[in-house]
Amino acid sequence: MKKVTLGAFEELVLLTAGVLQDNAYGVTIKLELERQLNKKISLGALYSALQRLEEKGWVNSRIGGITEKQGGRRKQYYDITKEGMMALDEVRAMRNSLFDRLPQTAINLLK
Amino acid sequence: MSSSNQKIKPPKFAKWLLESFCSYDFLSTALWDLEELFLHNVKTKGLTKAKFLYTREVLSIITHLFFKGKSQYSINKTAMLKHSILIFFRNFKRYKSASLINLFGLSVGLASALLIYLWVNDELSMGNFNERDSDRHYQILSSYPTSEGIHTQTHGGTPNPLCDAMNEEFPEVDYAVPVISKHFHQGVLASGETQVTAMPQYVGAGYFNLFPAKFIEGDKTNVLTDKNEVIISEQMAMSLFHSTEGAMGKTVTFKSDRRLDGDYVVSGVFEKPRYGLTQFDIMFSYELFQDRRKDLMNWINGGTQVHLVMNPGVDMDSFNEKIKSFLTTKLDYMTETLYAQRYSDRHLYDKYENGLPVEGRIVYVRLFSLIAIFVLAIASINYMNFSTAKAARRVKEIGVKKAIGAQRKNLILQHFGESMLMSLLSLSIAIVLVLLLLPKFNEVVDKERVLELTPNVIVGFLTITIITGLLSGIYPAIHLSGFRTVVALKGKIAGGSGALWLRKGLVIFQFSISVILIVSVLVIYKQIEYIQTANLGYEKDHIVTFTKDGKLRKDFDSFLSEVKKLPGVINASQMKGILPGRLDYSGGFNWEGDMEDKWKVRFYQIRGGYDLIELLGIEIKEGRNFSRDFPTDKDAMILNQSAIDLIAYENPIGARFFGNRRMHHIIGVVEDFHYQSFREKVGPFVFSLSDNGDHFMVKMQAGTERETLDRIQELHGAFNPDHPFDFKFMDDNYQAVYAVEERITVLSRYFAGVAIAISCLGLLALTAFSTQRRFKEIAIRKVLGSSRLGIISLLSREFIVLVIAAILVALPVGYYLMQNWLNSFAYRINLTPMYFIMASLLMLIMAWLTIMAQTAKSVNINVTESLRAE
Repeated sequence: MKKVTLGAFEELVLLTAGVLQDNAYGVTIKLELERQLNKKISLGALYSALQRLEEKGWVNSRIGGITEKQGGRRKQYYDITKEGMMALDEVRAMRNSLFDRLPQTAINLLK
Repeated sequence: MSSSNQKIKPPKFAKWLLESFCSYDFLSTALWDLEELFLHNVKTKGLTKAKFLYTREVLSIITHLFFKGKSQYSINKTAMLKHSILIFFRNFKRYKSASLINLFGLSVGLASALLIYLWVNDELSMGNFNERDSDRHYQILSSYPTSEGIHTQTHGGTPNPLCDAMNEEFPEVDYAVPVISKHFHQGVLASGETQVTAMPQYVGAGYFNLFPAKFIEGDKTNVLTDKNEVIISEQMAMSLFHSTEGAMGKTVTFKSDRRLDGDYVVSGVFEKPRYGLTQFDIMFSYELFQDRRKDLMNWINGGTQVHLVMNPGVDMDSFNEKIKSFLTTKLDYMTETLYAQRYSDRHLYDKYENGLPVEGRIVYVRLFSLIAIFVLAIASINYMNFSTAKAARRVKEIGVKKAIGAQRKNLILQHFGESMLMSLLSLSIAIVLVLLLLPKFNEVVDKERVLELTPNVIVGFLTITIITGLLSGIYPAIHLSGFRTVVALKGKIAGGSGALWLRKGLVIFQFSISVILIVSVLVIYKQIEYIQTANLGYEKDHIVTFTKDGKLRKDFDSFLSEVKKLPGVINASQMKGILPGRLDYSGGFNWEGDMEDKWKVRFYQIRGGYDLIELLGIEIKEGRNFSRDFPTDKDAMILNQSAIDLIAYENPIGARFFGNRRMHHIIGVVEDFHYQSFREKVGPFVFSLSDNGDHFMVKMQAGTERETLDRIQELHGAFNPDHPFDFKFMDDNYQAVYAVEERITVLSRYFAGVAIAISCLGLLALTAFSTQRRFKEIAIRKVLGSSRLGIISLLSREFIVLVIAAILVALPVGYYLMQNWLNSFAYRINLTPMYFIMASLLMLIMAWLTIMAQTAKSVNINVTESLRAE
């Protein structure tokens, strides 16, 4: 079976959803991401990333915030799952190990 | 409060768009987010920006979720839409050649319709100036009775005091603007050494409320308030001062009619209107004209155009009734009647009967709109026929759809969608075609149209496209969706005889129109050729004309005798007016004999020099030409045959004839010649001698025009250094009279070509399709020993019969239409059967070749291959 991979944008979305904890839904994720990345992100791109993450089982969606005022509309919150955390961790570990193997001379260039 | 609440709502369209794409569950999630974001944006970025961002987000959601991958969020509709588009392209690919032919035909048809739309749009907007008072702008036209009915003066000249009288005596009139246009003397504008020919126009206050003028320098609300001011065109400023700013405040000298000569101060520079009804280079105030030409300011002399601005809400019918015989209250013997026409109508309704506008150019506008509609109809029919013909192949698809619950409505929508998609595809090709063809088209119609995407044009283009889509989709949609499910699934539907008949009827309609167009083109072409080559009764070739101005007005005799001595010059003379078309005419002639209302009969006349009749090659039938040997010839007249027929003198030579307020005697009779366009009958005509011609005429030897013109120019410069030498060939004047006909011929030829091509394309697609379906039949016939010829005739018979039927329908209609058109000419060709036979043969050959192209191929099919599958 093909290994399930975490794309770069998906990783950012997943991380943001984790950071926002209980308050992660479309608008908050979008605004937070925009603040971090300093560029515009469209809801469409965000939804399709969230949809893929949900299919892979890395986020769970939860309905909340139904109020009379909103005319039956609802907020869809996204919570990061344990598998999601593991996927993030894996990516991070992989990245760290690569980073560790960078030659010292290259790291010196950064300084 | 509630109104402000009303305002901060997301745009409805975007919301509707999202609603029609999303499943209910996802919709409410997305809407929550969108609305929260929207409110946030309203606070930080303002309402308009927020609405824009909202729409953009919706579009991104739709593209990301529904078109870039599979989605559980989308609803059936989206999936069906994707499916329908897919089916459309698959079908397109399956019948590639026929579909491409269809697409091409539709594109060409659309492109012609779009070009015609641009032209019509332009014609309709001509004379519609949209200036401040343009909506209340009327012009007074005067008409007077003649022997051939009532003649309306289309240049708009009226008695000079009329304008002031309108202002003073009619409360309905807000204000009246006098204009003296180009029919008055041309002049020369000079600054220092440089001088340029200039066409002046004298305008009253309020002119710029009615007519467009773009001022590069100066203020249009505050010019020509002083009699010493002149405003000049940009070109004029460039040639006199090499800049527009530099021209302001400069003094220029105007030389024309002696009394208007003088120094004027430039107070404005304007850009020449792209197309106006009149052309002019400089403008003076009307007061100047009034002042200097007091001699003309009486009810007998005319030339001033009166432009009225009516008070709002005036009933024009009763106003026209009131002014109709207004002139008789001023001078009781005046026969002229007045009529105020809306100025924006003057361009399209420029033909007058009994002093009232009837039609005119609007006929051509209607004619070409009709052609556009027909060409589009022909192209749509191609699509219709093709899609019903291939219906048999789609029966199963429809059956399955119906079986799993598609309603008739959905199927109709699907097929309309297909035809709409087809016409949108054609639109994109058509726009490319229009862009490519526009320069050529402009050349033919003599306009400077560019494809500007004004709202008007966009709406027009889209409407035409949508109408085409609906037109071509309506029959397939209803026909295909009407199949009964069970029968359809069994695959037994053969199209039904109704569909077949309709298809045949449509083909007949297409080809009838093509035949009518061919007949029209042939007849129009022949008639124009007849006009071009007919014996006019005078010679127009190798003759140049140029104006007689400045010193030459007095000195013309010695100038003419010098010109005659130049090598290459055959003859030279001078005359008043321009032949053909702009000649003087008058009534008030008298002769012996008892005819009623003699004074009303209108005689055209040329007053000019001695050698004029000889120069023009007009044949003298009786008597002699004017001669310098007879001093009494100053009072002589030469009449044409029509005039002699009218006055019924048995021995005209030497008889007395009263005209131009003097007694004359007749010394000769000339054959009739066409001094007007061929639309007019040749009427009574007189020649007399006069020194007051305004044009020189010089006949040159063929082949030496260039050198001879140089010599004449040199001589002209020596005699008349103050005036530039501007000449025209008489042949060009002649062509100008028929410019409209010329244009119609060329255009009708192109569009007839397009119509025929599209019809044949349709036939091509149809034969291609039907032979493809009959491959097996052909193979079996071949096996059983049928000859090639037999098969070809079998396959083409069905279509040839249709074309013959179309010809039979078209001929009477074509005959009727062409007879009508020819009736507008006083001199015309006979409508012989030749034209109809030629048109029919041409159509048959075209159709036959088209069919042959397909059938010949199918005869060569490989028998085993086409039978193997069974």
